[in-house]
Amino acid sequence: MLENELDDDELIRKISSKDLIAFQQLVERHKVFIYNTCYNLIGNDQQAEETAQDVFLQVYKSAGSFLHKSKVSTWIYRIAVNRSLNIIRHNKRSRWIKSLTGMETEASGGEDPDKQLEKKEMIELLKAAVDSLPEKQRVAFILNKYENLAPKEIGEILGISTNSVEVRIHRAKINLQKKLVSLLKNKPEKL
Amino acid sequence: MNWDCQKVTNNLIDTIENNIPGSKKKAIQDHLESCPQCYGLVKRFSHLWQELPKMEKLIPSDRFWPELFAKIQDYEKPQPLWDKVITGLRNSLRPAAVSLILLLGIFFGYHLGNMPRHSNLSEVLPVEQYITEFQDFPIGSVGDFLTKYEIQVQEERP
Repeated sequence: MLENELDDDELIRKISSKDLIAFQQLVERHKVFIYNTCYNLIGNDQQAEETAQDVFLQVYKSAGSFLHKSKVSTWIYRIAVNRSLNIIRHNKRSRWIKSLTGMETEASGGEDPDKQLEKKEMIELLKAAVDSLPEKQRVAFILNKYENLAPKEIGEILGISTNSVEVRIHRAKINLQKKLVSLLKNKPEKL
Repeated sequence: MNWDCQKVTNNLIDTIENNIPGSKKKAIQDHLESCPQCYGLVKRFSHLWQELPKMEKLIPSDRFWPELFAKIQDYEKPQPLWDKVITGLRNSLRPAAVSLILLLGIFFGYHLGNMPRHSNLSEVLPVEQYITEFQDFPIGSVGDFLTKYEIQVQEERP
């Protein structure tokens, strides 16, 4: 079986035998999601990149002790969330909106500059509102809305029940609703 | 059912995500048809909310894999014996130091708590000493209380 056809569990088994090719395959498969999760939580691209690297280093070190009771992606996400939260608590600062300049992004489809600016302002509004949520609500909301993870999987990542995840997401939505409505009421109509 | 602007505002996300039951949905639609302000707000909020799942995925830099690979190589590098000894000592001494501090805290706390107490206040320090050392006691202070208490006790003595 070619390595590019191997599923995550098989790759982890190979990584536990120090197979670097399998490890690189796993990294390529998950690095964008893990990096974005770290970035959405931490808010700094350099720290997010370092944290994502540390997450995969941890995966490499612990591959031999992974019990395969949950999905590999769930396990990697759990490490990423825990490490990111540790960084946030260590930094003890609030996140600011990071300029999108200087960072590579996926192609936006050739929109005209005015529309791009409007879109950028909208994204900044959204990020600021999400950033101001309480930590537990923010994590659950980011994993659900940005990473498209189901509440059940989020519960496995955070070690809480699915109900608790749904409550946190619901509260996050209520809080976001209040913040965004008041922001929109103060913003000009073009948004 | 008559819905006002506040109710519509409180249910914005449910409205956009279509989580409103039938009768409420009709009430909201009726209100939006008659209130241009709420209609505009819902429209703008909807555009904003729809951006959420479309947020651009950031791509790590080209340095990601080379730096990660370097970290792996560092991890795999055999550690010199001296480094291993220091790491081992550090790992075992840290919990030992914490335990020692806790034990010392319990020891001193126990002895402080069991120090002998004086039941008669005048045996601790005579009032005259208080008066000579502290000329003015603010009203309601401990010194003021002690002074009045001692005077009372002396007056009551035969």
